[in-house]
Amino acid sequence: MLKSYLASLSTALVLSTALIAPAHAETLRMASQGDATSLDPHSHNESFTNYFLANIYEGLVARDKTFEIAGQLAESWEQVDATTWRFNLRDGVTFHDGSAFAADDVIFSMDRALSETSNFKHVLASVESYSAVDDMTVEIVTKAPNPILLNDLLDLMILDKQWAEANGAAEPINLQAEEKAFSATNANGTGPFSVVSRAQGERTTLTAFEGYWGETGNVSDVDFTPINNAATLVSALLSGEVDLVMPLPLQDIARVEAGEGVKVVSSAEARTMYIGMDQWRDQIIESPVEGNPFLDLRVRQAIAHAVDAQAIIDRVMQGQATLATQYVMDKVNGYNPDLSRLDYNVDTAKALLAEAGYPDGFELTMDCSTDRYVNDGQICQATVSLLARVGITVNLIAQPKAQFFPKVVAPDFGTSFFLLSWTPSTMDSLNVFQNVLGTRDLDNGVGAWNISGCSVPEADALAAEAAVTMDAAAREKMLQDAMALMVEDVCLVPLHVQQLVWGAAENIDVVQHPTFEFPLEYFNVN
Amino acid sequence: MFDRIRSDFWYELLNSPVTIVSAIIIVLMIIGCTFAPIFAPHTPFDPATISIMDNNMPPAWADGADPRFLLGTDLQGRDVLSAMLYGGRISLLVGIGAVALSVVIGMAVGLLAGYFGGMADAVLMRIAEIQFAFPPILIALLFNGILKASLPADVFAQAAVPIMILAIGLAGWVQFARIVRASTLVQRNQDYVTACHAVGLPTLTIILRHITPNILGPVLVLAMLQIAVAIVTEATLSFLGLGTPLTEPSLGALIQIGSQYLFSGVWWVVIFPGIMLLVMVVAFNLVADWVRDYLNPRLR
Repeated sequence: MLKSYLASLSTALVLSTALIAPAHAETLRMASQGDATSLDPHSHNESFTNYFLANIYEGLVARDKTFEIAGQLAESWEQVDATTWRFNLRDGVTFHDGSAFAADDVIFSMDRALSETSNFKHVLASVESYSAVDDMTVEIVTKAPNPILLNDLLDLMILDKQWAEANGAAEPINLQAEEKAFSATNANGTGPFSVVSRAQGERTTLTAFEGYWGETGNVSDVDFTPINNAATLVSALLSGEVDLVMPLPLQDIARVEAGEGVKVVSSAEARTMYIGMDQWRDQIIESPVEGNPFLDLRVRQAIAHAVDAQAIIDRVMQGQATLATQYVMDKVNGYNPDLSRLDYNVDTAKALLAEAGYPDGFELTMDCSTDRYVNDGQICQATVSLLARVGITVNLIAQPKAQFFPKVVAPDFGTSFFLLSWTPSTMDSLNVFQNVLGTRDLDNGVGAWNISGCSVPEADALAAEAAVTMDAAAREKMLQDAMALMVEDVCLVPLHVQQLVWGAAENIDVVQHPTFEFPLEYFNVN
Repeated sequence: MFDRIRSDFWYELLNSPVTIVSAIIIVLMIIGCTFAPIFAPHTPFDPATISIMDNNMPPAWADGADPRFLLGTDLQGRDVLSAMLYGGRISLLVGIGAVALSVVIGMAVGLLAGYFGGMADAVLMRIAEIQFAFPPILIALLFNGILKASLPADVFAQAAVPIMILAIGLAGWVQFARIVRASTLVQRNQDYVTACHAVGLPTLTIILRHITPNILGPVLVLAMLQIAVAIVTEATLSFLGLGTPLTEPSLGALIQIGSQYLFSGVWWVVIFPGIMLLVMVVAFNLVADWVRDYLNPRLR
């Protein structure tokens, strides 16, 4: 099963056309609408930050050019028994500062990922214990058989123990406190690129790591600049000031397609956008309403009926998205093809609101980022106007992600209505249950991104069972059933699955993965 | 001063057609924006009346236009003309409000410093000079940032206009303080002030009833110029995403939204609000210029 869906995914890849990379130095200048929140690899589980850092830090395993899971810092692994995995670490790997990589770094990084301020506890949720067998071997024992342990480990980045401890970075940065610690602006990984300079929100420069153990393309330096204004971003690409823009603003696709020396590169992204509703507070915040209307299923259904997701796709996303029926896209394992989305119907929505005791609607505040997802601010504005038609008055707080995320993340979850999205980096819907849909159990790494605070115990049980089921077909069925329960409960209102659209100079060969990775070591400048 | 206004004001004004046009533009903009709900064909700040299916319509004279939207619509389906009128209202309100605040603070500081001199003068004017060393936009950003950090996000979003008035007003008082202090220094040694002292009038009365009317001329000129500056500052803050919320954009915020679509052919969202901002600022400047010339006997 694993093989088959990975194989189908690989067709979505844009493969390099260059046969052998020339050996001379090439700088890749890239730009995006936002910046990585920090350089700390365990602080903020956000795709852009994760995959930016994946060029600097490495995990035990990673996806290769064809999207297959391959050994990275682990050269090979074997399953000693159903729950015990032994990883043989790669020899001769050094960190950017020259110190050698060994098993204690892996153990340290796992401890770090499990510490209080980590946003990556879920990657080790299935793990009972881990230990260093010797200097170059690590053993992981899972609580129960875990068929997707390797997928889980994809997001676990490995740091240098001595470096982190010497610099007061033994624990991840507290995202909510917006802490400015050493590991926010400094990095010491084993990855193909090392950090030369870092100015948050302005510019980050990387250079190819001389001592890198693996093969790389010909990119020798990376110059990354966040550019928030769409027109500035596109003019930078058109004028040759940058070589790569990701994502490319949708309204400018036609302009770039028509442009000289530039191209549009696109493929399906495994990101599902959704609207979340507070289902855990007795009183929703930042709203004059008494109590919490979202505790009533009919109100949640009304919101789903009122938000015309197809109109948002057609108008705001300019057709560069597909309608989401559930909280994962169709290429993710556990996708349930039998589910459908509640239809857009203002009258049904109004009737449901009236039944729930809100015939005139109510007023509330919506939180939204403006530089995280494709057209996120615009999607929120459209939502505001769509909800106004059923009498729900929405006060929109649209902020850059640097302000948005600290407000809405754990442990305070400071929002009662918001736009967010999720990409299961494992390409398996269990990841969504662990992070977004599962009943919150923060100490055990479950529901760290369940900002809605929704809870469907039967779905939790199914997901927990799937987590320890080795039979792929039975496991998939459980995940599908669990997804059906969540959709029926309207835990979130699914909107759309966005298309991955980049703009690049003609001479750049890129690799696109549906999970938004941008492994720069596979990129080439011709 | 006020006597002179009565005798030759109209003569001077009628001899300056540029000023007349500018003044008419300002009056029309103030009326149009103040009564935006009456003049605007749509209510862009009411999300219930906006349909996303009407988005990106070109202006009425272009191909594929909808006659309901004279200057086209933006990505959300908002009527650009209506959004300009409503947005212009915010810009004017912030511009005038911020300058009113600057005038009040600046006059109080300038009168105190100029009239009493000594320690009060030294301390107040040093503070003013320190602030003067920083560009006003930086000060406005600072105040805006402090307020944003100290207020809950929902309060901040709903109080965007008063917050901007406060931020820009606090950034602009120094110039008023300096000009008022200089004028007060001249006035306080005049014979009429000595006479006031002689008849035993209280200090406050002397300052408010006798000195203040005599220093209003330069303050008026500066205020008109500063309104234009404040409108641009507001537009800058909004353009940087620090001003009005996305659902209730001011002119600057409209330009910011429109500027995202410069390459996509949707030019009308940025061009029309841009022209309106330009015309508004130039008109205020031209009228202020004329008032300055009018009040300055040496220029005539």
